[in-house]
Amino acid sequence: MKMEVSRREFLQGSGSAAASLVIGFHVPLKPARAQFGGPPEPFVVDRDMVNAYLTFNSDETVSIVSAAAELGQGSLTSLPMLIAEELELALEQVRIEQAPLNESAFKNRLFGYQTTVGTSAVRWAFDPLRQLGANTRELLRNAAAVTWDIPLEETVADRGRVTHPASGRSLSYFELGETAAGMEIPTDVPLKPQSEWRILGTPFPRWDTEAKSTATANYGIDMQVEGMVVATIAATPVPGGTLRSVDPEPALSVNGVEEVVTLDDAVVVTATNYWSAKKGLDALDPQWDLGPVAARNSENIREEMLHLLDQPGNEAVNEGDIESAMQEAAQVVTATYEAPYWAHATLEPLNATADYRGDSIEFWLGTQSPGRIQSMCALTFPEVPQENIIVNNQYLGGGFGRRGDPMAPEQAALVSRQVGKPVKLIWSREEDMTHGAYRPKSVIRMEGSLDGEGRVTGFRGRIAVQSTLASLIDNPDVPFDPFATEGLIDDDYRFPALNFEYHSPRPGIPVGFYRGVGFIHNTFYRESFMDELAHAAGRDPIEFRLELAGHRERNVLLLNTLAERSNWGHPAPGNVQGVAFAYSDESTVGEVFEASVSDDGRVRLHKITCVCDVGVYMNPMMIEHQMESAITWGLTSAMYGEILIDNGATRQRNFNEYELVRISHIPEIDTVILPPTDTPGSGGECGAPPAPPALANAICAATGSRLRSMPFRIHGISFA
Amino acid sequence: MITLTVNGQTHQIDAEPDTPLLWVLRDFLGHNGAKYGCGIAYCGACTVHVDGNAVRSCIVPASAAEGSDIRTIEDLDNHPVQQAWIEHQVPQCGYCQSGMIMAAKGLLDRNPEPSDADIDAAITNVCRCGTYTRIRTAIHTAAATMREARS
Ligand code: FES
Ligand code: FES
Repeated sequence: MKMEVSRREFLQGSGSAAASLVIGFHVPLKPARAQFGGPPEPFVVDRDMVNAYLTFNSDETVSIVSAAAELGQGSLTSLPMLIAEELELALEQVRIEQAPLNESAFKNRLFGYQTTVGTSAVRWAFDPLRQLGANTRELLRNAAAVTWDIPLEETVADRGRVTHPASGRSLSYFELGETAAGMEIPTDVPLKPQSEWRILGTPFPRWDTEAKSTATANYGIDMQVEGMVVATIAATPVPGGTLRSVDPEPALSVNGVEEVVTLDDAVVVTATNYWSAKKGLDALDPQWDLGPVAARNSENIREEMLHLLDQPGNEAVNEGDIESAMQEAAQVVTATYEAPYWAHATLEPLNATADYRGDSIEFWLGTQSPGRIQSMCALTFPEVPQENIIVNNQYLGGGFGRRGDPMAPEQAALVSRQVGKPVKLIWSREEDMTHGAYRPKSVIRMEGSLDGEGRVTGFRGRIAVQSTLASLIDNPDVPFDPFATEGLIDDDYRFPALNFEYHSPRPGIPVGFYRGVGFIHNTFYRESFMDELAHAAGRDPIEFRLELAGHRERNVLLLNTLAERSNWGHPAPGNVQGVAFAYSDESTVGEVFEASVSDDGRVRLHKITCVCDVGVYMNPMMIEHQMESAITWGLTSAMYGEILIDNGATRQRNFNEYELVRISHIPEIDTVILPPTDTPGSGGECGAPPAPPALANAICAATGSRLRSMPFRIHGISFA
Repeated sequence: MITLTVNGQTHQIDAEPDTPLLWVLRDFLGHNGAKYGCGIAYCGACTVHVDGNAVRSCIVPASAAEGSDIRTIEDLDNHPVQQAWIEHQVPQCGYCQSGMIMAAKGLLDRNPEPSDADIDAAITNVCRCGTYTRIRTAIHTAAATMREARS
């Protein structure tokens, strides 16, 4: 780790926010997904990157810049905990500041932009931030030792001060700053063992809670900028379409409407307020040139995918002798599964405020990827130097992978350029739902072979799924897609023979990261199918999984804990249970759903038991929250989530056609976190993938019918 | 011109009479606590109180609220519901929570000791982040605090 202390950074001002000491540090990042199946060249991250800075303040607080957007997962709270632990600060002395946009310092090299991918921010930061805290603490102790001319060993760092207990002398970190700035920063300072942690590993409140409970948190949609107009937009209903013509008159006669602005592929109405803009937009009748995607619909996309399942695809894994396993099997089970497009449906619809000023553009919005906005706008607005594109990040009303998209800010800036004013562009819910970057639809065929004792001898499958990676890096020709088979071929289960292939069809429907990415549908496939195999083998589903996952002690511990805690095999009278287990995103989670199902398919959930192995964790309370959140996410996806395509356009327009799970559907969720290891996992997504199959397996236990496609609603299943 | 009384203050607003209360609050009065989520009364992010009832302000024309006592989350000052929200660390992204808090307050104003079933029936707001189990617990805590304060 390289650190630099700049004397220049000293400000001797007396204000409480006066910067005292600024230390740049480099954070090595790992790829977002450990399981890259293909050629790694452009995607492996192997160099250090600067992504955060420290500032000591005269009021004995320390400001830490976080490059991770606060998506709701609590990273704003967790990241400073890492530093505070080693720096011997009390947590209330830590201030977090959102990273300023600085492409070289903050970009995540996986995608080449400053971005919060998945929920990896905390995992990536785990060692570097602690090391930063430790090295800086030692620097400050050294500074005190020099000041007092005493041996280092006689100094103690605690609560933002270094003291000399023998003499009772004490200086704050701020006061030590100038001396420290002239000194070498110690390196290789050993990190505290977990047993000595005082903050990490304990439940600790988030500090955005109060702002979010008192309506003082500012979201992108709340922005007010001097002189701005409010705008709303109708973009081409079919991806790739363009605007042919629009008569602006009907909108201009609406009170409050200012202008009708046309873009290549959209029409925008600006007004003094949102309602006038919306009324104006609704009064228009834009004519579109829809382009080739208008020939696509859910049926022909599905048929193309099913057809692909009959053809060899890209090989993701081929271990053992799968042909012999199938030929010599006592039993072979085959099944075809599928899942639809899903919308993120963040509760805050996409929006962006932009002020285009000719030689600069300033943005205000909640975004997971300020850097992507900057690089995209540098292309769209070649007249504006890239360094003059400023992104002010706000609270995000839900990210889930959706808020890395630069489209809304780009549109807002285009409109601002035309009207010569700052523009707050708000997508209506209808615009948001019909113009998503959906979790891709997929179809899969799986085969499993069992020997005479009911043991699995081989597992193979072929999946057709649009490439999320290709859409993310804006390159349809990317030759591989690690997300296609994640959750199907990971090492949490071991099979004597394992073979998977994938196809990446290109129907032209926009797709993107969705919480759980590939894992969320692939785990539904695998874990439902494992239940089918367990049934065919006449074995208990947890015992069956223990055999597949038993090569890791932690898996055995997890499954045994799950069985015990859920009272597996002994549901309350009238209830059934379903189980699922999965690795995803460096963590492993098992869930048991206890439910009752009426004859007409009405499901009542009674209890959800969730046992998770997230390695070492910073805040157990946050892990619990994240499990509850992710399970709810998985349940909405499984029960209701379905985006359908008619003539290239999205059918579902609002929540009445795209339902979300409500409080009455969610029972007690009992979360157990396995004792920590020493490598961090990730809490934000891994709870979601097991939820759909655990529910499906419970429903099958009650009704005998296997749900091989989502959403379950289409099979006549509803919540009681 | 519409005349509205919001959090005890009367305002003359130059908005079209059909403008939903939500957008008057947000775009004309700068009260950003009530959020836009759907505009069709589905999600509850826009919940405010009109004459003591929790309503979804996105479908209430402002003209229909003239003469009513409109209260938004900005009117709450360390209310027991908010205290409970902080104690149980309810918010994740937080976007739904103003509406949730106003819906919870609406429930507790009517029913000081709600059962889980009462909560399930009354709280139909949606939270995309899935903070539901915390919300349930926090409502029970707030109910207890409010009962204590009364007795
Ligand atoms: S915005 Fe009013 S209910 Fe959704
Ligand atoms: S906390 Fe995010 S929608 Fe409820």
